[in-house]
Amino acid sequence: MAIDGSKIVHAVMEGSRIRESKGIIPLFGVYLSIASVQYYNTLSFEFENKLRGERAAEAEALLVKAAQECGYATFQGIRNSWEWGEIVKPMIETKEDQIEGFTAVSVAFGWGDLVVKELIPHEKLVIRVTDSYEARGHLEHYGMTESGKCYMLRGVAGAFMDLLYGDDYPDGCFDYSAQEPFCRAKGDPYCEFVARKSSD
Amino acid sequence: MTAFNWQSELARDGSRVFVAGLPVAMHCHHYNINLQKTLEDTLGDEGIQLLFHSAEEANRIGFTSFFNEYRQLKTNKSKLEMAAVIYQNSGFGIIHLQGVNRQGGTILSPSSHHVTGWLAKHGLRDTPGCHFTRGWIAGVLEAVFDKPAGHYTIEETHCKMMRDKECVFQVTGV
Amino acid sequence: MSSLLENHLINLALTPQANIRRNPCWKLLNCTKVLCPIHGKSDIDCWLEPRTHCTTHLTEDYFEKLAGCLACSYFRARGTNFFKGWNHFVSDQLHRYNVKALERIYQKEESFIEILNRIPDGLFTTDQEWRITYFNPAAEKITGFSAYDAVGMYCKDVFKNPICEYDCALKRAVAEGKDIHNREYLIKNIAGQKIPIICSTSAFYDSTGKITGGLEIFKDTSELKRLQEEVIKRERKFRRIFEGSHDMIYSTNYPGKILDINPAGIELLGFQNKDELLEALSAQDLYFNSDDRNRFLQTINAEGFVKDFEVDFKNRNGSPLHVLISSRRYENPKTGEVEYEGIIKDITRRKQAEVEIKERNRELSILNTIAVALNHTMDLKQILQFTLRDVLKILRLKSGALFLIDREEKKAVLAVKHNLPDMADDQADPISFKDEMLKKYLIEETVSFTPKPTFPVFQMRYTSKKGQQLPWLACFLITFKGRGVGFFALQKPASQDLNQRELHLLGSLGNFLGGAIENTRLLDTIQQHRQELRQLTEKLFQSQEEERRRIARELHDEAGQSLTAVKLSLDHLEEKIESADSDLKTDISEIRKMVKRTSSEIRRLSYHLHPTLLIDLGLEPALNLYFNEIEKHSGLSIEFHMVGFDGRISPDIETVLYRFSQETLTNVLKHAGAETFRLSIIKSYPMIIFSAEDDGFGFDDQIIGKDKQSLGLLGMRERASLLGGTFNLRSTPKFGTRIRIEIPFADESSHETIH
Repeated sequence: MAIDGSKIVHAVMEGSRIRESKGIIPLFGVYLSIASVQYYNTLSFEFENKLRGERAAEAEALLVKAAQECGYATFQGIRNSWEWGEIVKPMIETKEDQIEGFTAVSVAFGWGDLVVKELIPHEKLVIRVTDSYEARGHLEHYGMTESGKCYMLRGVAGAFMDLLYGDDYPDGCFDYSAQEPFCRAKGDPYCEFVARKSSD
Repeated sequence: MTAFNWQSELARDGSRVFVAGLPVAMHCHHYNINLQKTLEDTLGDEGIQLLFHSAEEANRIGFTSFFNEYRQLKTNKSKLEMAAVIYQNSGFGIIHLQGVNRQGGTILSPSSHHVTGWLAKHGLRDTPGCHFTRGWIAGVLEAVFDKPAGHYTIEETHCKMMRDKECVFQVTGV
Repeated sequence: MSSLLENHLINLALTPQANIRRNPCWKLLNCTKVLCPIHGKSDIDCWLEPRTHCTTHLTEDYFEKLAGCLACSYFRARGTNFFKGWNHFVSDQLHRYNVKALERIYQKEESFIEILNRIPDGLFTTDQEWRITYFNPAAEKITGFSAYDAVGMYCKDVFKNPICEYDCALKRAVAEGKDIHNREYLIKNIAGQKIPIICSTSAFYDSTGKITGGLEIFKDTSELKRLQEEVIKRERKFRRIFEGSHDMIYSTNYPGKILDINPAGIELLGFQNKDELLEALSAQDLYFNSDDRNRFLQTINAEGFVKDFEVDFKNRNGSPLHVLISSRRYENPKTGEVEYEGIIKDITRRKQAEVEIKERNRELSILNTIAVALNHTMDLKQILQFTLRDVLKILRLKSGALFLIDREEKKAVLAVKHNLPDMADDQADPISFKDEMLKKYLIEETVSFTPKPTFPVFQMRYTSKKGQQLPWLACFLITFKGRGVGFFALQKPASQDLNQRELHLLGSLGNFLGGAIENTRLLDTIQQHRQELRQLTEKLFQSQEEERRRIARELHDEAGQSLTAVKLSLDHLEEKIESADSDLKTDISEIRKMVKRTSSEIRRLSYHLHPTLLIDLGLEPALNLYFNEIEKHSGLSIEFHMVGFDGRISPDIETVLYRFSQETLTNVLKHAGAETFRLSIIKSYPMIIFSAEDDGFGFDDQIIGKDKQSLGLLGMRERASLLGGTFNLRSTPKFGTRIRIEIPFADESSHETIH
């Protein structure tokens, strides 16, 4: 049974409308917040700006690392959640189907239009996003650049592979890592994330 | 109260999600707290400032646009009430803005996304940690009272991340 | 309808309507159920109370009860008499019941919450998405999260254990369809401290079997863990002591089953491993003498413990082990059996060492006895007797002998023996060696070997006086400077072998004794030579005196008579010579004078050589005359006394004392340059004391015997010694010389007989 992404998006949209009395949105085993993409973009790109120069690579690595750790914990929580069990699990037939579930949740979260282009088990994952809020934000506020700027999605792509093929949780984080060979922020028609084994 | 209907304001356009027409993204506590920790650990006070200013700017711009759209919100009180509703509906928690006016005042928050997220991931901390909320308050107050960026200083005198009963923010206008 | 109710209705029909309002049911219906909750309570509406006796005890269902009440004439009568009418009555009663029922439910719920709040273990409930819905105070205390914050959070975020992500206890309870009990986790509290907990979980299901949430009860086991770790640590420590101890540590029960034993014990008892030992042995088997186990039990059961209980064990091979047991008796709290546990120290080697030290001390003591004997007696036989006796004692033998080798006679001589018969003395050689060649080398010295052989143990025997040939005796050579001087011949049972130490001791003793034997022999020789010398000296003095006497006599008799004849001849010649020839007369007169002088000189010489006065009148007149004459010629003042002499003494002693006086005075005149010479001869039984002194130059009395001048003094000493007396001289330069000689004399009667 193929994963029906719209069901997941619908569930997230419905779920995220549910508030408890404390103003917290517990969904998919995590606490959700809905914030302006500008906030995240300012945070990331200004952080990068502050470490510009010699520490530029460090800033990039830290942002990707924060996202990958987040993605690893978040999607582990998600796939163990009651909602996952109720909504996604019935649609999963193979292990690899989980990736479809993950990307559908990511789409629902408003991270972009994630599409799995290629998945070679244990080896390679290619995800394409034509409308990443990071790339869009960079273009709008900082203009064109020469390198990929979608640090959050890069980390998340690596985390997807960690969860599928890395060591058992919680030891598998960073077993895989992703690159962004194409990014709209540098003029490409889309952003693409390629995750491979970290040692490769 | 206002005619704001959250159900209809949280909308999708393809893969994008909007609240009252502004693009938003849903992020979980893992990402928010990881970002905060990375910035604090890497840049120290500068990172804290960055967290504050990013939230301040996004909210100042966002709420200014929002109040422009919702003209029926005429009084500052109703604007502040609406901001608290949006804060709660965005999953950021509960915030009581009744104790603040144009000059400043005291704001209480008995629960928040960042507190819950921080305690869930890292447990207690020694210093106040609601930098996002401080920035959010500054941005909202600047939008409500039509003040420029940086007009308000927000100090968090009590923080639930430090095991205080409530988070308490002291607002001072320039 | 129950018969009871029927009776009620019958009764009710007879009761006037007016009584209904005033009287309660139990009165109107003549109810006898005094245990009914309504009975005796006139202001209570019976239909609102559960479990009234007019219905049944079995049902709690209100509607069933109400159905019963609707049929009850009392209820109906009350309803119809209600001021708003029957319908309102029923509606009012239902409303009142519902209010009461809700109150009861709330009360029940509050009391449940109160109970949950009061239980000392952490407790929380979750919804079906595992978000906390209730968090009790104990859970707040353990986790550090307030209930306000915790409620709404996912339980995994409060407990913070990665295992929550992949092996959640609640999910497991759901998956297994049963409660999970006592799972142990390590959680992190709000301050990041790790806290061990033990938890039990249950899932809640709705009536359709769908999960509605879960319950988890947990307990902080930090203290328990700490205690467990402490117990483990102590257990390890004691195990280490138990395993690592060099002494045996054990436990047994009363019947003697060995319950536990440490590696040292296994090794001590000669086993490979514990199982083998426990299989093979019981406590009784450990004891060399089985009675000792009873003795041990008696003591430990009476006292509750034993300390340093000394006893002999045996190991697997039956070899004895000397051990000290320190144990206690206790009652096993689990089985109630009496058991014993303690430490067993193997002191076999220590004991052996003690025995060895004692043995060595005994040997040393014996050697010391021999050495003392050697020091105190020069009697070789006595020394050998001592030595033989002690050697037999050391070697725990009953009989033996000691032979000396006579080099001149080329034979072995039985010197001393113990518990052996006398050796035959009528045979040329009653001794035979098992190795005849050895005899030829050692005794007869007719063969020689190069290099010189060593002799460990050899065997010989001899024939007794009764002609019996003795069994072979084990012999150990006694040597002096590598040469055999004798041997021990010991009668040793064939079963008794001498150990290395005993052989070594015999070797040492042999050398030691060899030296003593040789020394004794040398001393004997010296004494013999000395005796001969004394005899010779005595003879010499006697000869000297006799020669002097003979010369004196010959001088007196022969030379005196010749000179008298010369004198008479000269007288006769003078008569013949003319008176005118005065020259000749003068010559003759001169010759006469010369003859007279010579005669006088010969007389003096003769007297000097042997004073006749000494023989005729005794010592005192002779010495008086002699001193007078010296005084006359020398000018030396001489004081002479004799005390205690009431008669003559032995002429030999008189002669000796006279010679002492002569020699002393001659020395004074020749060397002392003295003005006064004092001599006293005192007879004081049993000594005659000769005491002479002068006031001359004196001399260094250490030179006596070292120059010719002192030879006279040596002669005096020798003479005194020959008479069994002593000679003492004390002289200091410038302070004169004193000589004291003491000579023993025989009893008085013997003196008398001298005359």
